[in-house]
Amino acid sequence: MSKKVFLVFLLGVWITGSATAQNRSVAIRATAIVMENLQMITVRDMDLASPPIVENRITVNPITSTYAGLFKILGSPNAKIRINYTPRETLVEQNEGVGMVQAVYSLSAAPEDNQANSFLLTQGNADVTIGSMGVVFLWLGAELDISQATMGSYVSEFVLEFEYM
Amino acid sequence: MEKIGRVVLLLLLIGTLSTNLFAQRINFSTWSGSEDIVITPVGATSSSLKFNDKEKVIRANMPKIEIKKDDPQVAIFEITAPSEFDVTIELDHLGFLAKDGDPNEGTIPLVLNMSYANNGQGSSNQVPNPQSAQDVPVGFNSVTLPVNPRSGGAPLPPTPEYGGYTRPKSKVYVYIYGAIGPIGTVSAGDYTATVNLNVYVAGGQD
Repeated sequence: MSKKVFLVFLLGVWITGSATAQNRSVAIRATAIVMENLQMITVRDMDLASPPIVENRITVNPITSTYAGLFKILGSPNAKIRINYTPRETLVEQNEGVGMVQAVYSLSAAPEDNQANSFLLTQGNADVTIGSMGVVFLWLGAELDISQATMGSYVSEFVLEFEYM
Repeated sequence: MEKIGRVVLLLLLIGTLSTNLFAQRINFSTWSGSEDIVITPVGATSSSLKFNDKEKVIRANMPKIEIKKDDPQVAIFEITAPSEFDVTIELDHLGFLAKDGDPNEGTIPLVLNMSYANNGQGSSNQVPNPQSAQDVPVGFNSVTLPVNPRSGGAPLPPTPEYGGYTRPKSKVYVYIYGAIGPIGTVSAGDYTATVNLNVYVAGGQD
């Protein structure tokens, strides 16, 4: 009788041993990449008062002109963002409302603060990659047609929108 | 006196027998070769839960982001096991995503759910269909189910493999999905968690 009990125990041990071989496991990876909040800082406004007027036009080239405005956008390194802006605008004189200035804006971008190395963005909207340091620099240029302008005050509100793609 | 002695012996014997029977019934189901359960991910993206595929831009202080059972981001696994077995499926995770895998760097709450479909009826051509999958109640991380549904009761002892006989197999599909968040004031970065899906033959884990 005691031998039989011993055998049953042995069998039990052997079966439990074989049970571990029955396990199967797979590992699943759950991931979420959290992005930095996008933030824009205006470093310098565009200067439209200083550049010379040539044939009723004021031209500020975003890549070459020192009068260009400068922004920087902070975000997640190497993330892509889409930038939207209004490329054309008609400015009406504030007091009399007679004179008009036609403005065409342009933007250039670079991952570091090096204006000469920046590249021109397509008009209206463009896709830009944030640099490895988590920043992208934007230069704002404009071409103003003042042939219909009168003396007075012109105010423009340049609107720039951006979001992660 | 001798009669009483016999009755007691008989009772003892019955007691021993029933104990032995119980032990055998439980352990029978584990008596098989080691290659009997196979887990394979279904689809290209299914061995991971990528919450950025559901919500492209995830930022701090966002509400919950949820991958639902019938979303394309759900993780699906196919478990092939002998049709006459019961299997226990266990989902093992810590309940949060950690930045670069280190909880000290920051965490995002993670709640996972599991559903299963064991309606294969032995067919190898079954296509995963989340609509027909049974949900494991929230809060439970393991479920025991027959590989092939039967009308009720405990599984019968499996037929031992011999000669040219191999056990018929069926497929069970497991769907893993869930939600992260609400995301607190965490710093930007890669948040990950490793989730283990363990499958073993039921009754052999004592």
